[in-house]
Amino acid sequence: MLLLELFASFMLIGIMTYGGGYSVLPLVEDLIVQRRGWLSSTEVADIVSISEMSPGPFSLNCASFVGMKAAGIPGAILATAGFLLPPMAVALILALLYRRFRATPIVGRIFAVLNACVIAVLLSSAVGLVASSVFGGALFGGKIDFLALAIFLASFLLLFKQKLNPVVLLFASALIGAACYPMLQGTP
Amino acid sequence: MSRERNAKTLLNLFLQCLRISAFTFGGGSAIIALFQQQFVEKLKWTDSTEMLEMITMAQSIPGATSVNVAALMGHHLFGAKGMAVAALGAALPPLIVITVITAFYDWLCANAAVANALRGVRACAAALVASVSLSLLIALFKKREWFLIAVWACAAAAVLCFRVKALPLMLAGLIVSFLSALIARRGGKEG
Repeated sequence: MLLLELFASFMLIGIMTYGGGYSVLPLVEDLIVQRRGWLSSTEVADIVSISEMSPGPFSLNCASFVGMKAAGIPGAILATAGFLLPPMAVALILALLYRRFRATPIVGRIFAVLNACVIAVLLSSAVGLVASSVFGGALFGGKIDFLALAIFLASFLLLFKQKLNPVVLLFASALIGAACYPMLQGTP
Repeated sequence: MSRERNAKTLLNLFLQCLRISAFTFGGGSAIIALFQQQFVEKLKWTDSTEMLEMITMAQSIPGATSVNVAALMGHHLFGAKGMAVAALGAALPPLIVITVITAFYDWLCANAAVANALRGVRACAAALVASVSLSLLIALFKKREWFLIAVWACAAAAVLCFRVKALPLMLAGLIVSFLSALIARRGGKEG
């Protein structure tokens, strides 16, 4: 039953994910974290890091991670397969309709509008990730983790302005976290 | 020998997708560039115009772009059978790697040093998603298409002010996008 739910959830995500990259993230938060509770919001941040350091697109890595956590190896396989089926079906249908894969103006138009929606939900997911990793869950009134805030601001500037390689930054942040949190806890 | 290795066979398609997918980290445009290089320049299984069309199509349909590129390539060469084989080849390496990492994940998180490292990493991951979404937003505004900016503003207001969840919002987006495409098509025919 759980396997079937995993498969169905990721099929739905597979239909609704447009634009690649992190565009799957808001849907995972909605369907997997909030509705199903198969994942916590901190684990979502961990998939981002794990995915950057391993092969394959983020969306596929998400499906495998969630499937494995919820139901072991069969879960990983079914969640990943569920995610892949809808795009393959759409590609086959388009192939039958047009004989050759051509980006028609209509498809381009649909995609442009969906892309605008994706950017809106993705920004909100980014705010959610900042809230959970820096502000203790809520943007206001939570306990602020100042070291995490410093890492966030520095990483943001280096990524956005300097276009630094994210993997380098993730490793640096890991080292800083491992080195500094014990010291902070040592001096209350 | 090298002729056999470049032969257009299902097995070779599978192995090519498997190899490219296994050795490209972080996904995104890097892997698409590799597919392009391998299929067009090295193997000459397709020309660059067709490849570009496949990439555009892969970005416009749902799902993961790199797996879509592999699948469209497979379909181009061998039809539905090729599509399944190519997608399997592209999806297997990340599936195996993530499954193995996840198997150790809980055990690793229980370690105090790893837990501290992860607190730092999560802040960096948040910065990564924030930076990517801001770049996308800037790119959207630079297009200066007022309709798209209006769609974005409505979606952002719905999500941030009215707490609309991602799934209903994307469903609404799908309806609006189909309607706007239909209207654009009709307007184009009249004009």
